[in-house]
Amino acid sequence: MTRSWLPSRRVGVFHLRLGCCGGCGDLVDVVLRDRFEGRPPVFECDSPRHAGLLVVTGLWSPGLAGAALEVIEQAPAGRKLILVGDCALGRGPLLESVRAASAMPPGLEQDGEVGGCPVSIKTICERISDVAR
Amino acid sequence: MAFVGKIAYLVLFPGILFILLAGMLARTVSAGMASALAGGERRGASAPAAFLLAALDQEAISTGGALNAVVWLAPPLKAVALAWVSCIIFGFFPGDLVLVFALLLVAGGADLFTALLSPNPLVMQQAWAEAASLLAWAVPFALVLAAVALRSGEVSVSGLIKWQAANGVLLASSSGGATAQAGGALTLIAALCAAVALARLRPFGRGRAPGSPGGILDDVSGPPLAMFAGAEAAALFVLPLVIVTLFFAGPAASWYQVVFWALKVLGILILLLLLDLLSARSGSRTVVRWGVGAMGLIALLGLVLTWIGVSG
Repeated sequence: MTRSWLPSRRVGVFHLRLGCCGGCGDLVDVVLRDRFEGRPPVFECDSPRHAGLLVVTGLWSPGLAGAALEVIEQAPAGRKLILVGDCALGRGPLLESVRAASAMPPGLEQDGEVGGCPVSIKTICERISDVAR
Repeated sequence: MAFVGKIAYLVLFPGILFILLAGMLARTVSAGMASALAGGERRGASAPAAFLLAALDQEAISTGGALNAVVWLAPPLKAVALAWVSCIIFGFFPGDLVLVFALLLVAGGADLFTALLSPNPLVMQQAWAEAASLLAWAVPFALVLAAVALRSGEVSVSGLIKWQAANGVLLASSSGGATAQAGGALTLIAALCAAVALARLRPFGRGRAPGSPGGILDDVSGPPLAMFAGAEAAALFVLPLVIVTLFFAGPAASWYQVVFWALKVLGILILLLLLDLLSARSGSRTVVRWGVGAMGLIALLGLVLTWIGVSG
């Protein structure tokens, strides 16, 4: 395997879990933390202030949406946003049973989405690579 | 002109620019060791530089309160303090061990101020941990410096280096006999542990692992973040340099002697990184217990043995 010694542009990712079954969140954590072939060139950030890309998983419940927006606003200018999983896109299978859940807050623009329940790791990797580029 | 020259030393060589570049190399060694020994992610030799460049390019988010000013002032203060230490060791500035200790205290204190002034309660909670970290290295390190000065009879850094060039490295010098040598070995152990705490490798989540618990850097972004990262990297070079000066100094008149100095610094750096990797992540109370308690006692014992050896 060849490795470049020149500084490579790696994008910092902050994962924002809104909570639900947690399946999508776990898969995003695998993509951010594990080592495998085809992993996108990103690293996980401890703070949204260091991130160039935010990944949101889980349901936008009314009590949590405001706090989540505050976290998203902490990211520097030029940050990108990806919603992962049907719940984050406002159409998850648990939407009706939770009742209080709603769709993404108005005014928040996304740069990419990964639909499905469950989502596939391959699609998450491809979408993160595309958006982070 | 002499003043301008000194500013140039402080800013360029062996000052800020030099310790920053050397620190980035040290950070690369650190990242390589972590991935090789601890099985972490292989981010490549250029990852530390890439992170710094990316942070420079990002927006600095307003933190609010007094921290807005401190995030811009604390890292340059730390960098200047470390650059001054480097200038003293390289012989460009006069200075003694007390001044080196005071400058290192300023470098460590810069982080403490940042934590204390944060409006973020999660970061402010780290202030106690920062203070514990400061205490954990400052107490044993002060005792170490006292033992070194007692053994060599020199307080100035240049005098200490000349003494070691004439009498052999402090650790192996026959001056003071076997008792003083044992005292020297104990103070070296205490100094290495103090350097691990001072370099902030452990235990407060400012290490290399992605996703580690955040500290004061969670509040900082953009160019101030790059400056913090640069100052931390510089510390990773300056601290091994200080340890080598205290215990393994020698002549540096020819190129191979300079290379030997560099190898010694690299060796101490690797030792510090190994200590860091072997020690588990621990809380502030454990750090105080180990730093001020165990290492303080070892340093005190080293000081007493040195005193017995020298006076006997």
